[in-house]
Amino acid sequence: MTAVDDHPEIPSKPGAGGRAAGLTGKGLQLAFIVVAAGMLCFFGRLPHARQQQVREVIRVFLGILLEAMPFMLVGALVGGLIEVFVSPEGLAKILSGRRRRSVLVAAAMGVIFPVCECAIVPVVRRLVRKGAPLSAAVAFLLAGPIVNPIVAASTAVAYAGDWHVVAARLALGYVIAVVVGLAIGKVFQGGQALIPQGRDPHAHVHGGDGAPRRSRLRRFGGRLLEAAHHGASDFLDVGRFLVIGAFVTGVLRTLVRQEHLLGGGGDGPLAMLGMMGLAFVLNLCSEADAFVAASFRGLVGFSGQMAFMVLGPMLDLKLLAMYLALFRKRAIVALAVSIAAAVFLSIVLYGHLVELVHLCVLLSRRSIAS
Amino acid sequence: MTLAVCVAWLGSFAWLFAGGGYTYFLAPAYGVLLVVGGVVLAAFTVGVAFGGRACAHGDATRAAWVPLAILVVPLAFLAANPRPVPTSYAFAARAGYSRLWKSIIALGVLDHARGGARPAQGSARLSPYPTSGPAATMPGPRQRVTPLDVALDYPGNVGQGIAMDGMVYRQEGLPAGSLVAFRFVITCCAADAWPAGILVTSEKARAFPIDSWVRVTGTVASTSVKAQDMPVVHAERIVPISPPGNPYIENRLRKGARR
Repeated sequence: MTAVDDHPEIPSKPGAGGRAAGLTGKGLQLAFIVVAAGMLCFFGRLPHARQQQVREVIRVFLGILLEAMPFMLVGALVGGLIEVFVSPEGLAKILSGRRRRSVLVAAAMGVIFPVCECAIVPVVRRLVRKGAPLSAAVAFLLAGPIVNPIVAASTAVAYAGDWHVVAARLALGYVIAVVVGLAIGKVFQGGQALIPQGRDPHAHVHGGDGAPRRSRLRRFGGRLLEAAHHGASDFLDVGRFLVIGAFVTGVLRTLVRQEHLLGGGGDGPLAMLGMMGLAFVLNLCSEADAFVAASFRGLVGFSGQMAFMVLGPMLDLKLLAMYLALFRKRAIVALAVSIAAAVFLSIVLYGHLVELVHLCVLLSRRSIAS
Repeated sequence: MTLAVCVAWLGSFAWLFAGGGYTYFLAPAYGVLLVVGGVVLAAFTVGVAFGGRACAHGDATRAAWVPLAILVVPLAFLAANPRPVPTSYAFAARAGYSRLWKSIIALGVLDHARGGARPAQGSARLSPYPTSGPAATMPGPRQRVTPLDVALDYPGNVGQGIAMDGMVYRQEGLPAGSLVAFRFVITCCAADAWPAGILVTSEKARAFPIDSWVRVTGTVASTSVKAQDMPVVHAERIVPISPPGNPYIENRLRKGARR
């Protein structure tokens, strides 16, 4: 019995959103396979200069992938354990109550339930169906992939233990998720924002027939095996997007001069917008994107790197396709616009706040010295 | 098929870690990530093999070929190119944006060469170098250093005798009798590696092809390019060497790199 079978109101035929998501994802994936196969088959026939370019693409691609994949694997394993050991009903119970309180709680739930952005969409869909408020569900959807210990660890590793970066990323992710969650909850009622008869493409991964299966697998070891099985599913579902994202990054970093890509880089609004656009296109996993962001040190300032790390887990091409299976189009437009605006404004404000603090510290030191 | 992909990735992690090949992609300290990933992959392998069909649709057992093929692509790249070394192409491409180190690596030379009309190969646009040091000071014992060490210890190391390994870079605009010996400095992975190159002067500089590995024995001096002070090594001897086991050098100034 599948998740869809649990909810007879959901038609077995995929909705328009599901089809759109499927087509977008499949086209991207097939294009990647064709390009990769072409590189492998025709490498020997390329002139020397092109061979060097291809080698550089492969070197960067594999470098990012080998560093990010272990984190993605750990995330997939945790997702499998959540799938088996935590019921969505229990989560929904935590999220019931007053709206503001539930939003604040939901945005922090990633600390207890660390899941990446791909795994979180079907979980949120189930939460909404179990009665969780829309605003809380959106807050969990946006903050979960950022405000969690795995992402904190990977960010710390990527930035060589710079806890200022880690704290800023988690704090900004939390605040933005709360603000956008409240805004979406204010504008839309649950029924207005959600597709009533949609079917998300990942429903099968986490919804599933856990209950009857679990009733048969009473032994703890059996449940662990089941969790590992779910983790392997997530490895397939999420790992492929990580592979493609790392490959696109390798191509961009090799063939396009970074100065041109980001308008000379720097720390201004244009660099921030450029990095937000890059995060949207690259579709990197939140457990891995810090490594890519860190690789832009020296080219793009702190605000640009932070915009990349905060926007990516909330809004990218892959997520947009998945949102089509969960929200109505106008809700997606509102969500996308509010996320982009909130990320931009909050990071600008954060930058000014940090400058102000530095100024105060400097002035206080001078006054003490004098 | 899912089982085969999990086993293939597990085998790749084990092969990279045991053979040390991961140092071509990751900083040595990050090898532990492969161990962690390998343990998780082993769990997935057991889960897929013995966990049965966790979901009725059997997503992990009857997975579509497209995601499986995508996950095989990196392994195919790895098999085709297991030890990719960052070459002069990468040096030239990345040197352009490492402004952070502009004052301490050969980027001043590169910028100088890029600016204005490019002189013909071998012309003495930068020559003669206004140098100081080697003629006035006695070289000390030959200390094994990297190009990054030379750059970071400058100007305190002027007059010091050094032995430095690196790859050869040469481009239009560099004068006859000079080359750049470079290495890549790694912090986390190959994507964040940035180049550190030191200008080397020698009468035999042109004898060494681009991208070949050399050991430069000589004395650190200072030079000025576009009013920018930078180190130069006056080579007494340059010999070709075999590529080292790890093509990268570790970032001595991790904190500094973030500034």
